[in-house]
Amino acid sequence: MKFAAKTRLAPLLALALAVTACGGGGSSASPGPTPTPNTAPTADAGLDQTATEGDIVTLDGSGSSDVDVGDSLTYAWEQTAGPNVVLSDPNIAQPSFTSPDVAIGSPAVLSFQLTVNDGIASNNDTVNITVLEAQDKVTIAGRLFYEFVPPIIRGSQCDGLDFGSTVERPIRQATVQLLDANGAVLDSTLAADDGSYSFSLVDADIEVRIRVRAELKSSGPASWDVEIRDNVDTSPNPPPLDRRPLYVTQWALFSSGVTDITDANFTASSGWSGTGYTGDRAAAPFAILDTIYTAMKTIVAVDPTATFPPVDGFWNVNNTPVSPTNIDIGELSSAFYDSGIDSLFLMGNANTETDEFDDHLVLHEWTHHFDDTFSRSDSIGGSHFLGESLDLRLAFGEGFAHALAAIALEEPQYCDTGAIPGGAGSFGFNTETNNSGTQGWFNELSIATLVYDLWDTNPDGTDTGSIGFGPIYDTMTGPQRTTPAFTTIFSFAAELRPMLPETDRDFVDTQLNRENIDTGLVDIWGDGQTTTPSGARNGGRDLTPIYTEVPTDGSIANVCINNDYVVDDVVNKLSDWRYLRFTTPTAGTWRVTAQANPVPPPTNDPPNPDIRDRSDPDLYIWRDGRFVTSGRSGDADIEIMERSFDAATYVIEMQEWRHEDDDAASDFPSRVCFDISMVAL
Amino acid sequence: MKRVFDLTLTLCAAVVLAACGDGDVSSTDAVETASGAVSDAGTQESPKPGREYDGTVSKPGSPFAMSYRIVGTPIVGSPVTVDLRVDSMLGSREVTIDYRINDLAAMSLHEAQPDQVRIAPVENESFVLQRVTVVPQREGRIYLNVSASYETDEGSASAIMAVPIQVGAGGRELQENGEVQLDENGEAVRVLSGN
Repeated sequence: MKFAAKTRLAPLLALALAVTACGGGGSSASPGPTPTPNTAPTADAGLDQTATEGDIVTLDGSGSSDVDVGDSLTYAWEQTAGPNVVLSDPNIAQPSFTSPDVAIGSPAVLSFQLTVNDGIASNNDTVNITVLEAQDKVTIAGRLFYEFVPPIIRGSQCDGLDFGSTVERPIRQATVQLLDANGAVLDSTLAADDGSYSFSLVDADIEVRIRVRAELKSSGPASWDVEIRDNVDTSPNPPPLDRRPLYVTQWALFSSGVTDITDANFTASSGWSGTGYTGDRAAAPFAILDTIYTAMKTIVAVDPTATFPPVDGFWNVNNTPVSPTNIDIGELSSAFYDSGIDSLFLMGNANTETDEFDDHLVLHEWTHHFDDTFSRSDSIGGSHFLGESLDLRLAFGEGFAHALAAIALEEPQYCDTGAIPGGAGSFGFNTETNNSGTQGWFNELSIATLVYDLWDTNPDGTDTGSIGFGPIYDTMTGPQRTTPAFTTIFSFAAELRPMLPETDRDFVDTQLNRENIDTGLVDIWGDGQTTTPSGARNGGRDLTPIYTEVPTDGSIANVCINNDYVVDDVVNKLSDWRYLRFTTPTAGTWRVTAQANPVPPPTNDPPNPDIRDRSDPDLYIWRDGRFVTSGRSGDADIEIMERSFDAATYVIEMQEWRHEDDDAASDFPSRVCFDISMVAL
Repeated sequence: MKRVFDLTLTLCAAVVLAACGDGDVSSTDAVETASGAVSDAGTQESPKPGREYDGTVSKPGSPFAMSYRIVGTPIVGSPVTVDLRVDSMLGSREVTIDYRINDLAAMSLHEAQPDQVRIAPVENESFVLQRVTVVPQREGRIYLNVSASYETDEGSASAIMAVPIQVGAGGRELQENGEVQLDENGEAVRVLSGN
């Protein structure tokens, strides 16, 4: 643009002459007003545009201006380049024209010059219009994201969700669909790991929308089948859980246009509006899905052809921490995994608990699925809380789940966020550094710290090495599946050590020692445990030997059971169940007897018309992780079983049923001892 | 109480059943008493914890397990007593218990009921007992949210449980999130708007 200097001399001169003629009174001539200089207008031809052949294109010079008050502008458009077109009127601010035909792959660029004039001076500007060929088919591509809300972390504790730090994460590997306006699926693909997707050969100029399904499907080389579904159904006859609605998220219709679209990017919102959830909580299913994908990638990194059995995740905005569990109405006594239906269940009620962004918790539950399908877990489950002294099988299952979550996420800080707002119900712990309760082979946090420290490369006290995830995975999916012992830290450690070079075995032993686990003898039975853990109750009675050998010659082994560690009255704690083992030298029929000795005395719980003050030992017999038989007769003070056994090693878990019996006498002894014997028949 | 092992057998697997919690507790007719804990609200006599409770909530890694028992049959306009038990490994450390009702038109705390108490376990016990009184204002399935928390050098840790107060025959009021449609295969999908 040019600037044209000028003055308005003619009008000013005429005005001066007129004043003089009217006899203004002065005898001498006075000087007239100072002439106002003209300022040239500014031409603005508008922004460059892209059009398709046949489009009506409107040029826009309306942004042209002149600072001088009262000036009116004239417009003159002139085409300076490109195929000739006819403007509707070259002398108006916004003329239009029909874009010309162009050749395939040869877009045309039409240039126009706009000249504006204020009667004295003029100025010009240019604009380019790129004309593309109109396509019958187009490509629609873009990226898909979900909003992830991280926790507020204070020290090793967590205090709710930090919506101010919400980030977009790619929706990875989910099924992406292209739908028409009627909801028909036109095409389907998978999102890549960066959330990108692409549909080609889409009909031009139709209404379409993007829908993404909360599922991960792969047929190989690593295969998986994960679906996130809605568990709540209050209809009179709700369908089975695996037929409850799958979550999908979709966005508004848009035109496929007549040229390729490369930026059809969409984000599944958390639904948070600043003060509460006001929109659909579309991000939640994809947050859960993506966390599971992270874990599967950890597995695939060491087992590229891993085959993941199907698993469903269930979530609903009404899922609330309520006991007893009623899945249909969203009442869950905990987040949990149910191996019977290969499903995990997560909270979603913002008034109490939301689990969708609690990635450690999601992976904790998913790890139970991993244990169930890739490895073996003999965990007996049940309610417990951090720091309790647990049954060894439960402690290992829970601890390993904490550890694998931290490994997969490469983050030791565990967070479980609670109500919104306020964060009530939030807690956390650091898998690597926190302790709770008495450390040992019965403490889930000891197990978690141990397994995590075997993997991580962050030096931390005695944790100065790393064996990587490979040996851990090989142990869990190899010998741990078939170990004749129950799955505990002892079977894990004993099976892991032979896979390692000697220096790494020493490293493992150091970590075991740190958690108060003796390493003089590391075998699957824990026979090397001789140290009574500090903090053990009643002098550490009935803790070792962890497995009592039952002779097969009729001689007697004496074993005691106690509920010293029962805190919340759930019988899944240390010493609630005692383990025995026997090896039958030949196949045949054997009598196994458990006789209370001494017999508990009658209690003072009157009146006692039944035998609820008498001991009731129960026995369950397993071989290599497979249930074989049980003895649960209910006979007072004794259990006698006559069963056929192969020549093999078996393990027995034994409990005092009266410790679990709702109707047991209130003053039934907390400790009962038994004589165990076996004889061949 | 659910017999964990029996359930495991029912599922034909010695593997994980609801491995992180599912400590459901069924009610029994037995009623026992034990000395209650001293709280800001005063000394209370409460049922012996454990198998007399209607339900227990505990999440993986939680510092608490929380149990409740509803005393009597809730009816509109009449106070309902809920016995609570909070288990932890906190020793003598003080625990804060908060009560919250989201729909005050449906239920309210009794006028004499504080919405927060601070309490420490009695000596040599690992649990605290509390009794809370609410007044249902209408029929339905209404929730009393109970949270327990304690302060550590590294922040506050808490757990939460919703106590279901069933008043009459009404059901739970559910929140909506998206809508159910049929997909291209005729299978139900819950459609969420991504915007």
